[in-house]
Amino acid sequence: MTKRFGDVPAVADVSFSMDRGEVLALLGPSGCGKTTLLRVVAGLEAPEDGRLVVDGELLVGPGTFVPPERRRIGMVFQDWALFPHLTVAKNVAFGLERGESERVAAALEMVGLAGLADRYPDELSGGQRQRVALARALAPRPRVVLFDEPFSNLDAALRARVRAEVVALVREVGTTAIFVTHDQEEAFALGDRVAVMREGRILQVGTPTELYRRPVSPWVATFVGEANLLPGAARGEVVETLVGPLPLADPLEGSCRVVVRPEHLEIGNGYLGLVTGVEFYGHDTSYRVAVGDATVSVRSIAAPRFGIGDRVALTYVGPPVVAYPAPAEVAA
Amino acid sequence: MRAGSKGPDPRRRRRGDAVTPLAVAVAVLYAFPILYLAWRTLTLGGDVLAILSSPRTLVPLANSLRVAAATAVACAVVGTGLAWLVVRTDLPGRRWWRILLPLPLVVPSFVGATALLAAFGRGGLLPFVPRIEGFWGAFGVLTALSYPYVYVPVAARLSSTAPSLEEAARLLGRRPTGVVLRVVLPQVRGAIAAGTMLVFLYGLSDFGAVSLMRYDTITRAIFSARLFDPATSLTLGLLLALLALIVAGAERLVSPRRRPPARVGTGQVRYRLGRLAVPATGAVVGVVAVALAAPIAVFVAWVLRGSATVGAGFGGLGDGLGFLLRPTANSAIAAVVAGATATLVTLPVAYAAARGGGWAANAAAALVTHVFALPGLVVALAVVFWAIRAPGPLGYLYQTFPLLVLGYVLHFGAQAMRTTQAALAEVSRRYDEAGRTLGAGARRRFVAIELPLVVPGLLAGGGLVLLSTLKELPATLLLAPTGFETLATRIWGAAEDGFYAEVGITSLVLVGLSALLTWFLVLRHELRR
Repeated sequence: MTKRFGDVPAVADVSFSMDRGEVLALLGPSGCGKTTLLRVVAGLEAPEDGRLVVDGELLVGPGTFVPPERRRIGMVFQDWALFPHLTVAKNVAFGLERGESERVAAALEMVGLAGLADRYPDELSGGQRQRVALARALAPRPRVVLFDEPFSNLDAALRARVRAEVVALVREVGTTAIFVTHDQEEAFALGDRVAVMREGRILQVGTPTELYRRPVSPWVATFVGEANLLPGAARGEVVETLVGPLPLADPLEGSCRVVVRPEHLEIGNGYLGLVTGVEFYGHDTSYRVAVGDATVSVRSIAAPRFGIGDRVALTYVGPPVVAYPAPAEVAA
Repeated sequence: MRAGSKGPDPRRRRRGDAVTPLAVAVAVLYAFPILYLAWRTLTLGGDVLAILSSPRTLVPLANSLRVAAATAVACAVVGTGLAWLVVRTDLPGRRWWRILLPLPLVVPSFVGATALLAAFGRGGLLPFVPRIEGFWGAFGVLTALSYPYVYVPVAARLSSTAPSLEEAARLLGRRPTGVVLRVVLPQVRGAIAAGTMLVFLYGLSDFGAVSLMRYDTITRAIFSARLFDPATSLTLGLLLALLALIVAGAERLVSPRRRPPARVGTGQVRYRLGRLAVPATGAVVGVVAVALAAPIAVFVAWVLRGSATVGAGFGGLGDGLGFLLRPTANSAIAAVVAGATATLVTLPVAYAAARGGGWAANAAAALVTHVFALPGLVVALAVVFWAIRAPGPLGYLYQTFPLLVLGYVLHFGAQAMRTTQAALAEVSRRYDEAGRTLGAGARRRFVAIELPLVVPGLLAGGGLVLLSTLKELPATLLLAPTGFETLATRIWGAAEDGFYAEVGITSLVLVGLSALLTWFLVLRHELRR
């Protein structure tokens, strides 16, 4: 489907499908169109063309546009959009029929807020509001639940915990869910599959492992994690690089750019390169090593063993690498 | 529906477009006065061009614009300054000022002017102060009594701006004065513009203050020419109405289109006055003294003087205050009914303008607004004119309570509409979207989400109409059923007869009733937050 604002396509020719109960993370930098795509799915924006089918029902298509209130698609907003004039219980009950009060109680029980039913949203903490928003979206048993950067309003310490709770609940309920996020770690933690978006297009959809191991472009490779893009010369199954010959995942010929993850390099005594930077993170150490006129990032789980100015050797210890023919795009 | 789109595409409709036809229907009602003026002007066959080019038209017209514009500017400065002092500084006693400062709105302009005239000059309570009349008199009375039109919305806006913006500006190296000018003022610009506009329109429409101050404005000309030269009176009325319509329509061009950013953080940045605390307090005390304490003191003095010499200043005070019960009840009922009706009637227009914004909705809003600038007399004459020509049973409405209420609703509907519109603009669209994803249809979202969230705005708008109705005189004199006395007509009658003690006591009751109703309906909710 496609959605334009003026002449600029915010979402261009996007296509994807999901299995029931699957959790998809939409990952992309800000302004890439991921929130617009989510709003198109919810029905809050109308696409110029395209089709949307949920459970075999055509929601958007030529001559068809089912309004959001009849889609049975729930949404958790970035600012949670809790109705300020309604209590927690009434917020949760909003999407339910009259006389389904036991489902309100069940939903609040589920998110661990049974005791706060009569509070108003402004009397809750951020984490509690997040859970009310979740309970409200899940209570009507939607076919799909959409999450628009739902954790970005929480502080870092709370975020990981709430995220784990939310994803556990979503899986427990078994609902199909789409999370929008710009945080790669969050996308990998949440999604069965992750769709990477850039400039209105989905570049790649796959499991976190697939994305990390087999990114389709240098841009995806660096966006889903730290990566060295080393110049190389491929000869069939092997590519010659600064750090030596590496096994290729797919056969290739000629000059190319090779994705080498920093953690797949081992640093040791030798004379290949010169250490130009060391950062110690506690759980691991990051080195920057000048090799020829390139700079290579290396991650080691040990505490720093080398300092700036030391001469070191680098050894590749990872799986077969991905390479792109050289005149591809210029990546930073 | 935006221009250029072909056919009814349900996807592109904005939320307010569904009620636009209803809004237009309401606006037709608000076109009755200008239609009356146009119809009568044309059928009377006066020489419109000659009337319009005569100095008897041009001088009062220029005077009207002068006093209305001067009052609007003065109220913008005074109202904004007071709001800033009370809401955003450590001004001593600001809780009390917050309650007192909106109250001058409840003093009718003819009462305020009478009090001012009585207070100063020879034979006055303060004979050594020279009496102010003419332009400065009218300007002074109108400014003292109508700055709350600016003060109230600006104070509300100032208490809801995001403190993070000001903090950011401070951290970027701006001095407090710079922050106020560059960061705070732009955020409250919309509220200042809306209030100033009301003051300007009110200044154009006022008759009480300008006539007592003997300042020759267009409303005075309309009034004085009414009997012996109806053609001139009507042409001037039409001119005023067209002028108001242009101003109301043009306002959209200057009002900010950008929505304020979402609020982050709580509380407000309060500025320390330091050495400025004394002059600032002095200024606030001065305003309250002139606008509120002075008229009240004059009323009390009249009452005391009257009760010292029994019979001298009284129509019927000898029998106690019982004679005021009927007018008080009449005033209260008329005002509450008018406030509620005006809020309901203008709700579709406010909604269409706030949530849709097509040209039809904006034209409807401008029509509702412009009636506020007409003198009450003209509105009342129009209502009478159409009522006696109305077909069938509608013709019997003449001199009935419903017709009186209709007059008020037409005259003051703009106040309710604009307040509702501003309140609707404040409600985040996110709530509507959340309601949609939860399966709520348009009606349910309106009733369960938007309506409850704008209730404070509806009450404030209804409250403004209520206050204006309590003060209203000319339309009440013309439209009220025979024997239906209100406090305002009672004051007028007593003043005509020179019973100043009665003017004093009735005015005190009127101010007290206004304050009580305002407190009950509006302030109670605002201060609780």
